Amino acid sequence: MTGATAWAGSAEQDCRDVGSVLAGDAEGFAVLVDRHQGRIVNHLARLVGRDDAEDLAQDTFVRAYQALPRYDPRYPFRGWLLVIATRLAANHAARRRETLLPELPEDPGRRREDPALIVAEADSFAALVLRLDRALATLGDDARALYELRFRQELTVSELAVHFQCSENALKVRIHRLRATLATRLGLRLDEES
Amino acid sequence: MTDLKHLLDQPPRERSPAPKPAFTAAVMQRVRALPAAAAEPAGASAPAAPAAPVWPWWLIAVSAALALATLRPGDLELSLGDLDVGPGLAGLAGFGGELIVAATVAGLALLAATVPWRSVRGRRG
Repeated sequence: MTGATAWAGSAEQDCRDVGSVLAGDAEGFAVLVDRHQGRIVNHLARLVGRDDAEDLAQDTFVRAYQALPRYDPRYPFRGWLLVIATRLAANHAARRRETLLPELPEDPGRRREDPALIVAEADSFAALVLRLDRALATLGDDARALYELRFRQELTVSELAVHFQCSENALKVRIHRLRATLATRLGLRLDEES
Repeated sequence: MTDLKHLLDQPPRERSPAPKPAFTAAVMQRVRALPAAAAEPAGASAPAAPAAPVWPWWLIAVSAALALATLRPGDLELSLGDLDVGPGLAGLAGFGGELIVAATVAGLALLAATVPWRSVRGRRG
């Protein structure tokens, strides 16, 4: 995919830029902020809502700057930032005790019961996305964060295992269960595929 | 046609908006406000090496040159011969006191040079 190759290119650039910041060019950090702010804000908006996303994104970059000497360049900088953002979002949610996803358009339970609406929406991509978002909204904070990192941001299992300090097998089991739960809530039947 | 199962594994990714200069500026302002120690260099876990002392070689050289240039044999009525030293050192008596004074001045200059002046003034990056 073109997106993947673009990320690989930016990963190399990230490594060089991180190196120059660590070598003393603090102002060079602005390049990294420019490059990743959109993705981080989007990710946080999905976790905590658009209102708080920018503030948390700023916190994410400041924390990343402070922790930069501990960054392991074997893993993509983008994933490292996303994990920091996810942890800040979790802390934020714990403090605010709010539901993580912003308000849903309608009550998902009632809407799903209406066969006419389901049929009407069946072919609409937007409707499918909406159904997925509704199902995600029923997950716990940790599960939703894991889903976002693994499937939407496409962090690898090994990368996530390092960040979350657990074995790859344990993480695969969690992801499998998460996917199965989501499929059930979407009314899907997943075959033997992993 | 996109089906839900496909969407489950590949949810749509929002397009990253263009970077906002105001956002970057706000982050960098916070970064600059951090204490200097916040962005440690890569090897920051190791203790920093003490600052090397700054040797004022010019001071040592000038002191020694002045001492040698201004003193003449006999200016100071002091020589090793005046001191009650053993026969081995008595042979050096002919060098006169000027060398002793020069050596003393140079020694004092060396002593002063061992003070880490850079540390005394405070480190300024």
